[in-house]
Amino acid sequence: MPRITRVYLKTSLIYLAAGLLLGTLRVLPIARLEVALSGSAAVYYHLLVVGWITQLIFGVAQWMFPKTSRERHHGSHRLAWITYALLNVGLLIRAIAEPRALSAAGGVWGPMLAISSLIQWTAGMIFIVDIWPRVRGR
Amino acid sequence: MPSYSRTTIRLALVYLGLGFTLGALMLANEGLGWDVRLAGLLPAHIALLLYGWLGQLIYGVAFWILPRINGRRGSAPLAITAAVLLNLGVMLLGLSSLASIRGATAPMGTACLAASAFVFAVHAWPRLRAAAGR
Repeated sequence: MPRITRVYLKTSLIYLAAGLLLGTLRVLPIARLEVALSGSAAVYYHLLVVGWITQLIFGVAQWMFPKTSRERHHGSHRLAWITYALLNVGLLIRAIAEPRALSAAGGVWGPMLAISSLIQWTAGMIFIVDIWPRVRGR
Repeated sequence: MPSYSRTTIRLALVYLGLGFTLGALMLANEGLGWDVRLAGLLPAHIALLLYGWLGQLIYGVAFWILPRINGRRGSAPLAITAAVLLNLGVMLLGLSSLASIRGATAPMGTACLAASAFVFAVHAWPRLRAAAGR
């Protein structure tokens, strides 16, 4: 299993735990928590769907999809590392900015959401470009 | 990787690109307040990523790696039918984001997806049973 896959899988497990923790906190009958986490529904879903499931798939794909001759010879995962970095930076910015943007209009958090969306979108596109040639027969 | 898997996985990647694009548009719109109508893309965003990307990727990888029966990957016509129904369902559900045709397309889309899942299960079942004896 290549290192990029191990890092993807370990990170995805951290997001699984974080997502489930947030999900638990969201349903606890504690008034202060309910107020504090009122804008966190989308973050909860995306920690699980992007942070856990998508990242798990991205990592396993790097491991099990047939390698191109270039990868066989050089073992490079440069684009995969860029995807990993962008996906996680974008998701973390979203997790921080979205509840704040929803609770107070204006300020820096709205533009931060737009930046987060651009970063995550770029990660998705790089993954597609990187993995496309590997969807092939052996 | 067999041609069925190559086709479905490539289609899944196309849906991943489309789904990420809609998601990015909606998230940026949430932050910058471009147009409230963009929030209506949520059903298409979910359909593209949950069924078009995840579901179709699972079909492609399952067809590829599930145990073979007598050296064959089960019934190819069943697997192809499942993929066609899934793509039809995703397109219909995606179209349901357009409010003007929502009423008709959403139930037809989910019915196609349900039929697709059933047909793929019929395809995969004998291959899973074959795995039990190993």
